[in-house]
Amino acid sequence: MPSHYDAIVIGAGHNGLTAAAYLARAGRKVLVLERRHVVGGAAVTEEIYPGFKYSVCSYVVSLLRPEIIRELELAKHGLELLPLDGTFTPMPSGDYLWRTNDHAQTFRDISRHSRVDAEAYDEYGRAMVDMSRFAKPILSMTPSDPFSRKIRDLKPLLEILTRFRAMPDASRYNQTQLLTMSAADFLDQWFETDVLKATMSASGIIGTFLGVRSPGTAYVLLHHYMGEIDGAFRSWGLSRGGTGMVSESIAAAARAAGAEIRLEAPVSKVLVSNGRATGVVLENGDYVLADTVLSSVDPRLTFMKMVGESHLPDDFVEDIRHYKFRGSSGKVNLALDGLPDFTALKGAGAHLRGAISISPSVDYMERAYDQAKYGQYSRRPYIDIVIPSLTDSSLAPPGKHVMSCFVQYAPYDLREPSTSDAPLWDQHREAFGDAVIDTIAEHAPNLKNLILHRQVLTPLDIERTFGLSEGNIFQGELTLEQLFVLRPAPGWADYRTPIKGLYMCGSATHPGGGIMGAPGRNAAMKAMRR
Amino acid sequence: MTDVIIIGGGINGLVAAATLARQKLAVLVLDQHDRVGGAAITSTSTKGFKSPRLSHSIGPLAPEVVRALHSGNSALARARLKFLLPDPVLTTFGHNGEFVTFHRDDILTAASINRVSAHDAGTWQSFVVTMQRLSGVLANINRHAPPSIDAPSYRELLELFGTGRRARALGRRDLGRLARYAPMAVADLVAEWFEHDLVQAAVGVRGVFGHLLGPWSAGTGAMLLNRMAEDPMPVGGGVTMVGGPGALAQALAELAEASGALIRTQARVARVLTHEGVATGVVLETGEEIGAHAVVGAVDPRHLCLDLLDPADLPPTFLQRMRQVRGRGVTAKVNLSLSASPTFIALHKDDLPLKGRLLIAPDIDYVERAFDAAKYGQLSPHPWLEVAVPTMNDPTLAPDGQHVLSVYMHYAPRTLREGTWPGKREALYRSVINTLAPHAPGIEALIIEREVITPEDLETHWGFAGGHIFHGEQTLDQWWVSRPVQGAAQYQTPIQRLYFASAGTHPGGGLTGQSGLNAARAIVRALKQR
Repeated sequence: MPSHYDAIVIGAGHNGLTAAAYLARAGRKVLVLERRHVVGGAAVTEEIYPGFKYSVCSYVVSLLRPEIIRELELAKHGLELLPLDGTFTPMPSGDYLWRTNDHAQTFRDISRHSRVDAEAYDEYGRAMVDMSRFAKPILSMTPSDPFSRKIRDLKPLLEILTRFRAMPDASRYNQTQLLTMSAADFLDQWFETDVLKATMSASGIIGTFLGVRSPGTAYVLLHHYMGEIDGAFRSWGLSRGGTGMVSESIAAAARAAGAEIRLEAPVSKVLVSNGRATGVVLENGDYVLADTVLSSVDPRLTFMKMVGESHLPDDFVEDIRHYKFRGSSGKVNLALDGLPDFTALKGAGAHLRGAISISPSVDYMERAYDQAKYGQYSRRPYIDIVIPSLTDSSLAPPGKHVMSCFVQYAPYDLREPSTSDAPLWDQHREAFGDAVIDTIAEHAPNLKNLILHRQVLTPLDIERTFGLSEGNIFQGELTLEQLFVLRPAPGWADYRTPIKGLYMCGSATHPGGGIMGAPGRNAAMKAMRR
Repeated sequence: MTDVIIIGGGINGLVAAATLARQKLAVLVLDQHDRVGGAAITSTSTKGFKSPRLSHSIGPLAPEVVRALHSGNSALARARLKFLLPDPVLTTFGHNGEFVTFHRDDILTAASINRVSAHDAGTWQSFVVTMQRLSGVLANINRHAPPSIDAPSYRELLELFGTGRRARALGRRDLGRLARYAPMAVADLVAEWFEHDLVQAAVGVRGVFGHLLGPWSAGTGAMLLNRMAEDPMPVGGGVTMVGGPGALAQALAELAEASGALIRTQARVARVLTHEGVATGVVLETGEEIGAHAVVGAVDPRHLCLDLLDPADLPPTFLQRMRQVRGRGVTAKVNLSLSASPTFIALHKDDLPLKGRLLIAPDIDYVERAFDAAKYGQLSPHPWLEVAVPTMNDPTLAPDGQHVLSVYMHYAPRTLREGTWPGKREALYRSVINTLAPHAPGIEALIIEREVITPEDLETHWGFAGGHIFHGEQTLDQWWVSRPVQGAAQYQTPIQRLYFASAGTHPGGGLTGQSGLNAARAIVRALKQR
């Protein structure tokens, strides 16, 4: 007799765990099924090389919803967020740009490049915070169906419209531009310093297959101002013990509330009978029954693999088939024997404690994208570097460091020359890693001598290891046509699916990827309201 | 005393003139050139060749505009507004001698597509029908002036309600499509329907025509939909008139004059006269002052506000937004007089396709690469071309047996990073010939005369700010209530009794006359209120 639960959650990523925790706290009997041997999904810490703890995929925390931290008492369960202060951009000219949360320091440093920009920067910050106030409530909202005729569904959307109209004219203008413009064009209106625009525009392209000059990338600039740790706007942070501790703490909260988490238990099928989800089948053949199934894995895996097209309406299948993943980023994790020394700003100063951004000019960013458009990995990519061991000494042995390099672009659909039968990315993994190291070494020549171990993750590796289709770190591109009421498919943005009792609770639902937890929380609420 | 002065005798200016004159207003049109027409002109060379100097096809004129013109002086309108509807409409050439011909009849088109792809032949008709359904909603929006955001009038609410009902009538499936397609890259949109490069690119280029955008740029889906709202043929109908596009301008001028409007050519306006925030007339470059009750700028809004007005008279916010309007010209024009009809080898001596336009845009990546160059301020070495041979439909345009050939070339960025336009004129010409020659060998030997029009010419000679043929990109953030800028989308400038009426206003360019008609109606309402 197979066991029976109130709810099964497929996948123990931070969203799946969040959903499980909320369900368990509401008294439901919950089972979380995870394919891997660790919880966390892409928010995971692993000791790949002895003594060095990598935040293998996701590496910074910012948008984790404060209500989740509060309601699940994550601090009590081991979550501690450490500040990650500043962004340092070395330039090939030997100059640099270094912005921090210290207003005077940032003003001084931008002034070195342009006095006008230093002044515009404050004004820009204020405008962005203004915008964030409009956009932020939307993050926690369950998108209702705009295609419905029910007043109940239309009301929340009308509320957004009303709030939009209530904004001052200047904010409305900015908001419209943010939604549709390219990050570079938008920033062109505010600033003249190339390196400043390049570094700021980078946040617009992360996880998308777009360039900084592609329309629609401006909107993500807002996210930087929505990040909130301890309630302060626009701060980014690290989790003590690596990003995996975010997941561990949510898992602890879920377990404390009575949820059961089973590792190395890959799900192969969702059981559907009469259009209703009734449980799951594991790859080992075990059946587990449940009233409700929540899937935190992406729609392709959920619907095409686990549910099966035959149970789904044709239109829906077509929409899921058109849902775009197109992973565009890779990750290089390094174990270092010391600290990199940047030519532009020597020494182990505070500039190494924040993010280090290899984004010297807007053209540099755009050229990196151009190569990817035609199927090559960028030979000189955009890289976002963090050395978390400087802030959290538990991550590496004394005197040693871990360095996390987020790299874009690395197109999943690679069109590089092939010399064997192996998948293309397997043939080019090391060359890709070399390009990353070479790029950084141009700014920090001592890097190559410090490397004790390197882990190169291509989009193909991300797909294989973490089950993210096409290696997309957000479970699907965060582009306008895949956001809000359209995520993952028009008419199905409220976490329900065409299968009764089956809900989506991962990053492929509103508000999307990044360690927010909002999809997991919203989906759990929806599933319980039924 | 003149009631209304219209600056600019382009299609929109003339439609506005005819509409206003019909309301018993004393209208004076001032045009800087020898002949009215703006972008719709037919020029006669010394050797007797009549070329469509700028645009080689028109709109087509919006049905609404044609109706409005007929209602006034129907006998004259019937006599003069006779359009040529070429069939086939377009033939696109591939890399290896393959080609596809698009006809007015979808079945014939599908048959032609079938030679390269059975799949695409199968989806063609349902693509056309679907896109026409979706763009019908946009056409409905285009017919009305954009509403006020702050205080929509009863009439505007009624119009919005009408559009809303029309949109609802699409049903869930199509509404979802509309919401997804609009922000999408046109490359993605066409890939959802077609597999063959030629078909994808032929439709895709409609989404980027005239703009500094490539098919992979997000939001170009909306532009394709918008083009289809004015011209329901997915690849464009290529409508023209006997006598070339200039004949349309002449017909419109006669209609306006028949209602009492006066038209003065070679009258270049130097400044708009204002007194305490109210427009009182204009000063010509000759120094002549002409007073009027109201002034309409049927010229690029940026030209009107930034060149013809004193910036001190305009509110700073408005001025700043006007400066930020994106209109980066990328279109160049080459007109050739040929001693004989050109031979396209792929056609094997079949002349029929030459009646329609010809396209050299073999695949989406080709177009995107052409765009890549423009991003960095360079002329595309391998441009995409749209070619027309107007003499095939109207032999009166050239001496017996001889032909004129008209080429739109993309991308030729207005702002070059290296060199200046006078110096690049020859390179532009060469890139066009070198692109044409492989498809039409021997064409160079047929050339008797040539004219090259650069984006710089478009700016200096025709007053298109930034050389942009649509008076500003028609992206989502510069559309509807944001065209030309948010807060001034209702054809009223911040100066009292000074109005916009050009393609720079809603719904935008393409020689449809709709902007002129919408503006004239708004002006009549405004003038009546007094």
